[in-house]
Formats: sequence, C-alpha cells, structure tokens
Amino acid sequence: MNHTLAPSSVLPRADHALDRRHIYVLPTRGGFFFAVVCLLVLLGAMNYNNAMAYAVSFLLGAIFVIAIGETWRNLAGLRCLGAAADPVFAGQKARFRVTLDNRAGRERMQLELLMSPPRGGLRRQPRQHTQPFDVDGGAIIHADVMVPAPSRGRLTCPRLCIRTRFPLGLIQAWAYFSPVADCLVYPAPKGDSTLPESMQSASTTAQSGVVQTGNNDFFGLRGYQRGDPLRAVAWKTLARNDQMVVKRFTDAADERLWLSLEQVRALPDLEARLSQLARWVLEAGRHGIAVGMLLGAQRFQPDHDPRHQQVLLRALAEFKL
Amino acid sequence: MNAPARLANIRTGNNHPREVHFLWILGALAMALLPHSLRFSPLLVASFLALAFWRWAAYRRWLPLPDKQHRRLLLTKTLLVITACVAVWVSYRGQSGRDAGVALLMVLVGLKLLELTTTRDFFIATTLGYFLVVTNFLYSQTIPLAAFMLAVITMLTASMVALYGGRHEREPKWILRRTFFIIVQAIPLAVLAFVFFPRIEGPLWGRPMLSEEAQTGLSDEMTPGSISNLTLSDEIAFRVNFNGRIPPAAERYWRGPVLWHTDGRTWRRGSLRDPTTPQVRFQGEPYRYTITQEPSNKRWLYALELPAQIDDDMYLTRDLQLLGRYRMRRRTSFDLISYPRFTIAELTPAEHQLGLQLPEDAHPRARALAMQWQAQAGGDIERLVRIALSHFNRQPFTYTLAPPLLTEDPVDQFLFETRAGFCEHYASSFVVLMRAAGVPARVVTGYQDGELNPVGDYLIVRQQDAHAWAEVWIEGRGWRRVDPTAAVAPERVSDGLEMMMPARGGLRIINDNPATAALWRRIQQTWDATNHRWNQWVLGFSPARQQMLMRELGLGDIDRSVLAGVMMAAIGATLLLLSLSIQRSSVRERDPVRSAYREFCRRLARIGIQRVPHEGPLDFAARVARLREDLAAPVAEITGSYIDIRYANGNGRDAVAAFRRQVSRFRPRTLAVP
Repeated sequence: MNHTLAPSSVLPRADHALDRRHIYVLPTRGGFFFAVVCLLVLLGAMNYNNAMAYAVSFLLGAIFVIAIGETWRNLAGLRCLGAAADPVFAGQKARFRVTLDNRAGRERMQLELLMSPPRGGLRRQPRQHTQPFDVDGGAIIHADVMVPAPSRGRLTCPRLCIRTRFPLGLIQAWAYFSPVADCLVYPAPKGDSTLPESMQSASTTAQSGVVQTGNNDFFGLRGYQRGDPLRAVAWKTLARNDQMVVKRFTDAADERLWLSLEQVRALPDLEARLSQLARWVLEAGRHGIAVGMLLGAQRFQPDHDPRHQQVLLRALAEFKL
Repeated sequence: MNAPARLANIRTGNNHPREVHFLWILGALAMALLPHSLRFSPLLVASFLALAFWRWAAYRRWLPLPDKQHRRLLLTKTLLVITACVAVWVSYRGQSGRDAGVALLMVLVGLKLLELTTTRDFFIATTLGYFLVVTNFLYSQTIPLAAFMLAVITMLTASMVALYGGRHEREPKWILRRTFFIIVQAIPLAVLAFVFFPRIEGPLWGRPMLSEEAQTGLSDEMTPGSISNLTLSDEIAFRVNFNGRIPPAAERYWRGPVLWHTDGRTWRRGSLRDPTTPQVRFQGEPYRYTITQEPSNKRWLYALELPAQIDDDMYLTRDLQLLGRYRMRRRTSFDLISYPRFTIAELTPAEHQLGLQLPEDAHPRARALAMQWQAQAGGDIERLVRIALSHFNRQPFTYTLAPPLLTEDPVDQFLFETRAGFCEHYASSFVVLMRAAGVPARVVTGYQDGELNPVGDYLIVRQQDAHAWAEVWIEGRGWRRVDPTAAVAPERVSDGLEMMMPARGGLRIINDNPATAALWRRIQQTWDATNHRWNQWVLGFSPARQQMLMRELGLGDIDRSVLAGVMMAAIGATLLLLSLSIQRSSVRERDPVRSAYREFCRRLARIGIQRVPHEGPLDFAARVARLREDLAAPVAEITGSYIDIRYANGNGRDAVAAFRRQVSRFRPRTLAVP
C-alpha cells in the first residue's frame, strides 16, 4: 500500500498550454461601465463638435481594446501540471495544491483560482475567497484551492477556473482545467462511545526487537514528520532553534487494541459507525496504543507507527464505497 | 522540473485598495483638476483639497471615515453633499450650464474621495477623472493642454494598473512602464479612429450657449478709441493660407462691418435692409485662399476685398459684407476667391440717402471746410478726394496709438485742434467731410495687412491689425476705397502697425539684440505655424475635411456607412493582428530543450517512426534501435543528452547548445528498398 501523505510529486502530463481555444475573454462589470463612459464622451464630442473630446473617447476605446490583448496575454501559455491534496476529515475543507507551470512564459500578475466560472457582464461577482497571486517568469508555482469535503471517500478535484483581470480590471480572461487529482476524505471523527479495553502484550517488543514508541517514558527527539500528533511536538525546542522536532516516549507496558465494526453495531448507520471507529483510531493514537482493525475482509495488524494510523483511516474512508 | 517551485504568496485579509493606490488616484485627479483650479473659485479647490486630506488622514488612521461605523459622520457627509449641490446651484444659477456642470462634477469627485474603499469605488473615481479631462476641453483645446491631458489620462490609467499591480504595487516605475506600454499601443489605434471614424456635424440635441474663449474683436459700432483699444491685443483674429500668389501689403484689406450711420460720435451699421446682392464686375487676377477665423461670436466674416466665390452657408450683403448664417462660436475655415479690382454699377436711392446722412447741426467747422473744398473741386469727386487727402498730408496731422481725448464735437476737435488720431479718427472725419461736400461715403472697418509667417507660409492677422477706412461713391466708377490713414502715415499701410509697436512678448534683453530678436521671432513663428496646423487638421477636422482627406487618399466620395464599415474592419483587423501576435509570441515554445527534442521526434516521424504519446524517451529510443539498427547510436546519444539535461545535470547553456547541435546534425533517411 503505497499511499503517500505529502502531495505526490506531479509528473508533467502532455497538457496543453492555455491558448486561444481555451481562454475566454469578456469585459468585467467595470469594463462595461468604462465602455458606457467612452460612448457618452463620444456623444458629447459629436454634440459639441469637440475634437479633443473625440480624441479622448477614441483613446479610451483604444485602451479598452489593448486591455483585451494584455489581459489575454497574461493568461496565455500557462500550463496546469496537476493538483494534489492531503487527506482531510469529512466536514473539513480539502486543500488542493495546484501546480502551475510558467516555464515558457513571462511574469504573470494577479492570477486567481476560482471554483466556479466568473460571471461576465453586469452581474455582480459572487464573493470568492481567493487572493490573487503573481507568478515569476520561468517559474513553477503552487497555488491552493480550498474545496469543501462534506463526506468521506474520494473527493475529486473539481473543474477549476483560473482568472485574471490584470492590467486594468476592464477585461477578465479565464480558462478551465480539470486536474486529475483527488483527495482522500476520512470519516469525520465522531461518536461518544469510550475506547474499548485494550490488552497488554509483551510479545511485540520481543518480536520486532526495536523500541516501540509509546507515550510514557521520554527517550529522545526526532525530526517532525507529517502525521505526528501536535501534542508530541517539542514546542520549547521549536521556539529555541526553529526546528520542528517531536518527543519520543516508550511505554513500559505495550498495549494493543483491536477495533471492528462489531463494537459499534449499536450505532444507527454505517457512516456513524465508521465515524466512531475513526475517532477511536485517533484517540488510541493519542494514548500511544497500538491499534489493529478488522474491517470486512480486511485485517490490519496492530502497530504504533503514525503511518499505520493513516492506513486505518484510509481503510475507513474507502470502506464499501 | 528544473525551476524551483514556489508557493504562491497568498495574502490574507480583505483585498481593498490601500493608501498607495489612493495616492495614485489622488495625484491623477488633482492633475485633471489643475487647469480648472485657475477658472473656478478658490473655495471649490480648497474644499477638494480638504476632502482629499480627510481621506488620506483616514488611511493614516488619524481621522475616522464617514462609514457605517461612524453614523454621525455619515450624516455629516450627507449634509456636505446637499450643501455642495446647493452652493453650486446658487453660485452658478443663470450662468452657463457648462460652468455649473463642471463645478458640480468637481464637487462630486471630491466627495467620492471620501467613499473610496473598494476596488469598485476606485474604478468609479477613475472614470470621473476621465470625465474631468473632457470637461477641460470644453474651455480650451490648445496643444499644451492636450499634451497635459494626455499625461493626466496616463496617470489615471496608471492608477488602475496600480490596483492590479500585485507585488509591484509599490514600484511607481514598474506601474508607469506598464501604463506607457498600454498607452503607446493605444495611441495609433486612437489616431486611426480619429481619422476614419465617420464624423457627424453636430449638434445632436442642441448646442449649449458656450464659446471656447473670451473674444475681443471688431464690433459693428465705432467710436473714437474703439479700434485703438483693439490694437493693444496681439490675439489672433484669423489666419490665411494663400493658394498661389500672396497680395502685397497695400492690397491686404480684410473687409468687415460697413458703417453707414453716424450720430456725430458713434458710427453704426444703419438701417440699410436690402436683401439683394449687388451686381459686381470683377477684373484682373483673383487670389485664392483659405481663411481660418478664430471664434468671434459675431456673424460677419472677414475677406479680402472682394470675394467673388463664397461657400453655401454665407452670403454677401448689399454693402459687400460677408455674413455667415450663424455666429462664429468655433474656429471655422472657409475657402474664398477674391478679386482686388471690381466695380459696382448702381447706387439705390436708399443707399444714396444713407450715404449722405449727417447729424443735424453737428461738425459746423468740418461742414464749412467741406463746402470750401467742394467749390475748389468743382464737381470732380476724384479731385475733391485728392484735396482732402493732401489736407491730411500737409497739415500737421499725426498718427498715434494714444490720441488725446475728444470731449466736444469729436470731428471738429480732431480736424482743427488735436490733429492726432488713429485710423478711426481719420476714416470717420474723412467720411463726414465727403458727405458734407455732397459725396456719398461710408466707413468700412476690418483688418489691414497681417504678418506673413515664413514657417508654414501663411498670413497671421491679429487684433492689432484692426483698421478703418472710407469708401466714396464716384459716379460711373462705383464705390472706391480711400484710406486717409495712408495719407498721414503711409508706413501704417505698407509695413503694418508692427513697426510702431513694441515687439510681442519676450524680454527686452532678447529684443534689443538683433540676433536673439530674430531667433525669438522665428520661434514664435514656428509655434504659431504649429498651432495653425493643429487648428486646421486636428481641431477643425470636420466632416467636410474628412471627406476631403478621403478624396486625397483616393477613396473617393465615401458613403458614411462604408466609412463605418472600414472603421469596424480596421478595428477587427487590429484585434485579429493583436491576437495572432500574442498567439505566436506567448505560445511559441520558449523551452529550447523541449523544442529540440520535438524536432528530433519530428525527424524520426518523417521516416515513419512515430513516437506515441505515452512513450517515454528511453522506450522510444529502444524501439527506434530495434527498428533501425543503423540509427541506434545517434538516437541513444541524443536521448542520453536529453535525459541528462532534463533529469540529471540540468540545463547549462553549453549542454543545451550541444544538445541542439546534436539534434540538428541528426538527419535520418528512409532505407532504400532493395
């Protein structure tokens, strides 16, 4: 089971760079307003036979036309290499980290990633909590999009929209891309039942012959890895020398716990049961208990490794989908 | 991936414009208001500055803004808006709508400053700024103002660029560079539109009562001193481009209002209301020329004596005045043909009567003198005229710009006491003398001479060239021009007034030295020539002139709809060109390694070995080697370099160059079929 936790390195696909066929261009609300102003000035110029008013109106019109090209150019040639997201629990927001490839382009200003297409024309834009970002020429950049993850399972990355209004805000250019990526959504850790009794086992230590991590006796520090409980972070060390390290403990007595759907049969439906199991898995992790799990035909041996916890949660997330 | 990936710098908090954006827009708006600040009440300017300061202080958190958190201030703002509108209404009531409109716009812009919060507000403020630019052109359209307004438009546009400046928003140089980039591209497009956009002769909904500048100029009344006042002004009355010969100074009489009626002091046009056009016989060689007249707010036009062929929208009165259909509120150009020699055969009884009119009991001494001359001449009118002129010439008459004030009977006092006067004194007293001697005569006002500008080769006629002369009726020869001023000061007619006047503008130190004076004069002439061209070709670019230009361009008499079509096509073509150029420039491969590798694949495809999309470079190379053993070595070499650059040692310049050389040397051939 090779499930990586960090955003997997995304291999460049034979993506098309954004070009004429992929980029849409329309005036913004402000752009329409500007065009109306242009027209009013032109009418005034006609009425008063004012040559300079004609000139202003034509210059504004020309600026508008040039802005179309400029805005378009700000997006053209960009590539989306893909996206990746860390697992989240249901009810949270998945953070899709989108990789944009600007190796073939100049500096790009004020790009925005949106989840819904921008509204053209006179309608007001819905509030979208994206902050525009700039991209260096010749760079590859990551940008995050937050996508709500309401239920467990696999959340596929929605069709994304990249938009820009640079340089004048008169015109917006946008394009769509659908990165092939999904985010694992664990069941929301819920349920009030207490953790079932665990059993002592001395055999594990003997079998593996390595020191298992527990949470009773401190025996050293190691570098922080994703998935380490925040509780274990040595905050004082972090404050002293900016290094994220975690404290490691050993348990005098090793504990093992088996979880299964049988234990939560009292709960009304499968989702509630899986949520309860997810909560127990986290709780056991906090207490340094090695958890094993029986889930349908799958059987997971008890283990202390934080990665093991992710394996269990993933099994819960994908169970019977 | 050979470039390090970077996480986009994502800002938190609202995305409203900040102080730096405010300073941009404030600067731009202040520039747009600058020319107005000289025209409008200082109170208006002061209130704008105060509002600007308030908004700025709010950015600095020194003062609160009138927003929802400060309801009392919100009320203050509402009161301010009402007060401002009422103040504008009260101060500009009954005056031109233009001034009131502009004042209101200025107030609104000032108050909008207080509301600048969101990007949208900034957008609206910028747009109001563009309107302010246009309002400046309602007052003046000179070259310096146009240049300044171009700078203002650039600044306004820059303030928009600043809003979208991202990480460069605090780099004015960067923002200005981006703005210049846009403006420089836009200007040719705007020029095209200016020339080809089908022009319509306004007004569309009624012309407001406004004229560009305050005018001085001849009126249709003349009192002693009215013309000499004008001569202090070096404002331009009109400019003349000759098509061919230029008349000598002594023939440059620009005919204006003809005055018939006198009350002893003031001359007026009189009650001649005869709509017929006189029968004129023209002789000699005509002059062809174009007059560009500055707005005078008067109906009459000036023309070289005497126009034979005139435009449709003007006509010649019975006393040979050229009248336009409307008052000249704008600078207008018209083409004319004039013959310096002409005869009019008939004198109507009404004209005869008016031509002899004199106020009862006025000018007794002048009448006595005239009776004496009449006896001398014995019915020969030409002789009578000669006697009168020689009187002016022999007696100690002087020609002066500052004649003594005439308090009693002006004609008698001038003729027998002061004997110092300006052209209007000479012309009016000459006409009085002629009438007293029984010869129909009238006063003609207008301009005389003009300054020839060698730069651009045209004549500038200024207010200081205003002149008055006389015309007498000689039976059988018609109306003859007599200029009594010439008898007193011949150089006035031959050299113009210029000699008597201090040099225009400039410091004394410049004018005293002949070399610098000549240079200064040359600069003035060049500047005036530039202005003249600007007036003719830019400001005066009327529908007629557009048609003329189209004809010159060989486009013939184009229909407006065709012109509109051409215009749309031009815009379409520009857009197409733009998009094509963008297409080429930005989607073109910029990664030399990738393009070289693609070229390598293309060359193999040409001999029938196509790389399939899912095939990696190594797999492809292996397949090529299987198919064509002879190519295995070079293909392996190229693939090796590619992989080395891409995945191992990076793309050093030498490595890339070597790789491209390898690819360019690689020329696979199809195997000859045995």
